[in-house]
Amino acid sequence: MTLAPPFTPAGPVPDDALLVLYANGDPGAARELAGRLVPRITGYAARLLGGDRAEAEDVAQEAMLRLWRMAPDWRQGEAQVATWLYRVVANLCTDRLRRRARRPAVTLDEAPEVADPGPAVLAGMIAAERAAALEVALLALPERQRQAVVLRHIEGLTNPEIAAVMAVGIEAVESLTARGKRALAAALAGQRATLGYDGDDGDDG
Amino acid sequence: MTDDNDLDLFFAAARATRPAPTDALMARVVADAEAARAPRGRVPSAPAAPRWRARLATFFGTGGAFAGLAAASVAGFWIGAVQPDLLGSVWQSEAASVDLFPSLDGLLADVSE
Repeated sequence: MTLAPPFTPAGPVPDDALLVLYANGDPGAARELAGRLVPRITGYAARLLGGDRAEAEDVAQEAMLRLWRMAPDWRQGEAQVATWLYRVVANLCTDRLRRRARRPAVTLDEAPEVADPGPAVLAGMIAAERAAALEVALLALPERQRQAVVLRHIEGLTNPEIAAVMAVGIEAVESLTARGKRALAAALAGQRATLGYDGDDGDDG
Repeated sequence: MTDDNDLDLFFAAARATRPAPTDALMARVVADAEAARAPRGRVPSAPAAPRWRARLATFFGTGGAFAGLAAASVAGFWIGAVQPDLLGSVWQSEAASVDLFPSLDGLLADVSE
C-alpha cells in the first residue's frame, strides 16, 4: 500500500468555484457548469412534473437563468450549488403543478402501454414502461413526499443533502420517503404481472 | 403490496431512463449565461446627450441637416476668404444691382394730376 502524496493533484473544480469563475468572466465556466447541472435538474423536474419533457426543460432553463443572475452575489462555501438548484426546481415545479391543477389529473390507467407489453418485449422497453408507471404513481403522491422520494431514490442524494434541499430535518426526510414509498408500493402493486418483474428481474435492476 | 425490492426495480428503471437534456436546451442555457453576464463586462455606453441637444436634434432632424448647414457655412467662408475679388466684382457690378424699392415720385405725380 502506498501513501498518498503530500500534495494530491487537484480534482475537478467545485461547482461553486465554477460559478465564481463564471461571474468573473471565464467563458468556459458556464458551459462546464451547465454540463454538470442541467442533466440532473432536467431529470428531477421531469420526475416532479410526471414526465413532461418540454415543461421540465423550461423549468431547467429558468432555474439556470436564476443561477446565472445571482452568480455575482454567490458566497462560496455557504451552500451547495446543486442543493440550491434542486430547491429552485422544486419551487418552479410546484408553481406549474398548481397551474396545471385545473386540467384533468393523470391516473394510473393512463400509463402508456403497460397493459399489453407482449411476450417478446425488450428489456429496455420494460424499463421504460416501469419508469412510466413510476412517474404516474409519483405524480399521485403528495408533493413533499414526491420530492423526497425522487431526490433519495432516483437522484441519489443522501438524507442530509435532501434535508438541505427541502429545508427540513433529517427525520422529516426519513418520514417523507418512508410514507412515499409505502404509497408507491400500494399504487404499483397491481402491475406486477403486466410490468414483467415476476420471476426474472435481475436483467436491469 | 409491492415490497422494497420491487420498488427498487422501478427506481432503477427510472434512473436508467433519465431524460437527457437536448442540445437545444444546453444551447439556450449557455446563451442565457452569456446574456446574463454581458452587462457587467461591456464597456459603458456613451452618456446620453443633454436634453437641449436632444430637443434641437428633434427639431432640425438628425445629423444630416446639421452636416448640410455646416458644409454651406464652410463653403461661404472659403469663397469669402480665398476669392474676395470675385465677391467685390459681384457687389460692384451694374448688372447685379436691383432696385428693390423703386421711387414713388412718378406714381405720386400721377395721383396729384
